[in-house]
Amino acid sequence: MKQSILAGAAALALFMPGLAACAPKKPEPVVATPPPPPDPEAWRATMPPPAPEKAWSAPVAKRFDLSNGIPVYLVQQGDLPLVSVQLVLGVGREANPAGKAGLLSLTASMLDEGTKTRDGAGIAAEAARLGAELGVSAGDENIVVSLDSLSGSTLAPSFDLMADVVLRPAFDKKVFARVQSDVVAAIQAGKSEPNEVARRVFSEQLFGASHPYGQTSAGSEKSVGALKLADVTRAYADHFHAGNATFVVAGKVDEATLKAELEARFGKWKAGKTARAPVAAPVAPLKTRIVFQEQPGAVQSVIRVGTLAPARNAPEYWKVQVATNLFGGMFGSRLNMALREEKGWSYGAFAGVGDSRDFGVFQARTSVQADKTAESVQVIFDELKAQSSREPTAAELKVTADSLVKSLPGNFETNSATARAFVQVPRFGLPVDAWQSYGMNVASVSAAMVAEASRAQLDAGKMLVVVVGPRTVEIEGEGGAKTTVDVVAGLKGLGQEFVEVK
Amino acid sequence: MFLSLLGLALAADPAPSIPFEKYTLDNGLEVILSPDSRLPLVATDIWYHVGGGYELPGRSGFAHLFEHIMFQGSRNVPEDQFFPILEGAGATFVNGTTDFDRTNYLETVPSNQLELALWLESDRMGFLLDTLTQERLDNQRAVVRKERQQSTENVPYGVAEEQFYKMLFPAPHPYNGVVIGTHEDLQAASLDDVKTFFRTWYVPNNATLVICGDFDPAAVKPLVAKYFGSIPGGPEPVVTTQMAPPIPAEKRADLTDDVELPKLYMGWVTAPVFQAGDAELQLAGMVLADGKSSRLYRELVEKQQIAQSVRAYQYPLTYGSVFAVEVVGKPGQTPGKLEAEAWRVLESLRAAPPEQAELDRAWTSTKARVLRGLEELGGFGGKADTLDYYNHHTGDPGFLAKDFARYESATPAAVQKAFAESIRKDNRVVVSVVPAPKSEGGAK
Repeated sequence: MKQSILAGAAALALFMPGLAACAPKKPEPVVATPPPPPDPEAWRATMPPPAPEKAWSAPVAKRFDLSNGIPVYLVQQGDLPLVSVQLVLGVGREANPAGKAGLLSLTASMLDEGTKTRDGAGIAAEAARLGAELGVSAGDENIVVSLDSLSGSTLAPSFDLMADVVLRPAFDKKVFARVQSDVVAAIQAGKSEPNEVARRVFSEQLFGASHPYGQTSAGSEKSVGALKLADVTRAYADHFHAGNATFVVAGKVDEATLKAELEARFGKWKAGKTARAPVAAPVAPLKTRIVFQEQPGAVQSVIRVGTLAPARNAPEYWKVQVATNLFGGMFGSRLNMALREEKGWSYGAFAGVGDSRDFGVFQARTSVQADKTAESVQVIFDELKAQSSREPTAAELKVTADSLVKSLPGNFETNSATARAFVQVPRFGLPVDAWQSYGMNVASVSAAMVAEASRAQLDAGKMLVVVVGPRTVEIEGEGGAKTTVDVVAGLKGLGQEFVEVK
Repeated sequence: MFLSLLGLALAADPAPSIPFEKYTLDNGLEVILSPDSRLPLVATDIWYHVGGGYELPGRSGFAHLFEHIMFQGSRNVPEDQFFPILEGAGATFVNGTTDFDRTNYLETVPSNQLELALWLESDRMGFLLDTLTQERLDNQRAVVRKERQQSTENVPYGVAEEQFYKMLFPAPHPYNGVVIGTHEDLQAASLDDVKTFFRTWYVPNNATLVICGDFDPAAVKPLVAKYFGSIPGGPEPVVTTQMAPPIPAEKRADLTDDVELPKLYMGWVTAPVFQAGDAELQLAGMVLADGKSSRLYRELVEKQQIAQSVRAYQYPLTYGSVFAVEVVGKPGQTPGKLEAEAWRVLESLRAAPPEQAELDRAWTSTKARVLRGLEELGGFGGKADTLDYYNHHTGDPGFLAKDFARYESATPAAVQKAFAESIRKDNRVVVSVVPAPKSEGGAK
């Protein structure tokens, strides 16, 4: 029942339908009045300046290896008896064989559905009894098995459970059929979710259907529906092995204890033959193309505008990060101000670069009232052009750098947040003190570098635009008269290449 | 035997304690300070002791509308600058929420920006009405009405949920409906109504400020006095909300909506928050539907495969809690089948006490979740919010240990007794939703 002013990253509740037109008031007749007494609260007009910043440096991970070579990264922190563990398998959707999109994801979903000695309910019961939370998720670039455990005497049995799930999955036939049908149903349900549709179309269009990244990691109804249990057991044998594994741990546990617990359970895990397959580089859009998919009856259109961007460990990553944060990473960014505050067509618009090992993706995302779809795309083009044609002011550069750097301690507030932050270290091949140099890297970006990155990255002439919305929408004008707005005609009228997909 | 002993041993661990100091300013504002210097961050969390459950008939949605207006600027904070100012300062969390029993406003900022947060919060507590014009009210009313469309009317089952609360709490009880209110009431709000609401409820003596994080209390007390001390207190607000009446006989509604899957709601008005039976019903909800080892999940989702998802929970409230069971059916299942099968599972808990192991699991995982929440200073369920929560309901910000004791002393027999007494067929509300027949083109 709770209503919240913001939901997720997009500001949902603070929508402003255009700036209020403040009608100038009639001048009051001038009457001589005695000067008012000095206002005792006048001092409040000045915003307080920040106090001196506290010296703080981000945590550094300790690295050690198990006897079979599995790297372990540990950040000791916190005063509560809690530990967060991430077991990362460095394999992602590139490992799905042709026509079998979603295989690794389905394989991961099977892990906590039964082991040689426990069924799914038994795994859940054991986790609950220990106060532990066990999760398995398959992302675009890796698979993560996470364990949030109490430290102390329950840590060992929690690791037992994690090891059981990772090393001894049962892959029961009946369970497979149920999980497979659940996954297919979830993908089906996603078809009525315009954001989900936009995400899929964007990947397909940016990478091309034959590229491994042209598929979502969950796969399609068809590809998942056709998978067999043998595919799953084979994918498990090929990819779930010590050679692909890394542990990242944060919380109240010392190095000796952790090493002993992990060694006892994972030290004999064998490395497999298959290493991560190299992924061919796709070609970024050479000219702007608008791709439309109809969502009948929708009152809003989902818009995604983007292109490829530097990988997380590329040298130009930092200037692109700062440039895109300035463009759309903040509530006060031009993109959000234009669409939400000035035009009032959207609840929020944000943009940024997704961190990636291979190819980053820059994306601006928003949902807009459907009758303003084409106009909103034009606003995004205009803002891209505006930023790529000038250098940011010193004040703009400061705000954007501050918003990236000053909030950094918030990344280490909880054990699981810290563990997730340090998963980046093995994933992108970063040094163990990567978070300590984050601020310096951001600070090294000058206004000229932002301008250069904006010209290269925010080129309105080389964007993939995906729109998921209605073909037409009816709006009520003055006096209740109804007019039909042709969304497709509006998009075609923008003078760019236009494609419709189904 | 070993299993259940281990569970008990865990349950017997001392509850974590959050150190704090509580005092009251001359104007009645309660202040709770809780230093924690792990990171250079500080969270502020103001609870105004008013929510949707304090509204008068015909004025639904006021508390929430107000929460919006609080972000729109005040005498010294320019319009629409609340979020950008905090963002530039490196805030890691900014939000506000309205519930039936309270409204809260939270910020987590770098610790050298605490004064900024105090400036922003005190300006809207003391000087909001200076800039509240008809235009701003109209704007936010329009925003909230769009939000109502998005969060209630245009989401699957939103309308059913509203109907569910209308039946659980018949008018004129203010828990009737959804916190966001109705279009009619929102439209009827005049500028004077809104100003009166502010002057009645948004007084320092009806608010509690928690500051939690990296600060020195000796340095912060003068700052709190500087920013909040001169805001005048008001008359003590008079709460007219009454305890929700018991439901005299079963009530049912069958709805058709633009949804993909059928859904069943069963609900009861139960023991108020922190009253006898409340903790037992919370544990019962966990036994029934928390995770894949719970009774409803195993029976309806896994074994019979007639449900897509199940929920069962006690939603604790001051003037009558809600115990709810929600079942989303697989395609083609009828609400009647879902109801009959879900009721059979509920009967099992009415007829016999839960196993000790089930209760241990429910409590241990709840406790672990609370602990994980306390890793954060701010945010929902963080340390600041926890201090505020206990203070609001019990007057003691340090009630955590006593709260834990409620669950630790709940026996299987007590859980069964509370459940069997509260959860009956003759005092329930049942709302079912089935998909509307698809028209050409698929959507509305």
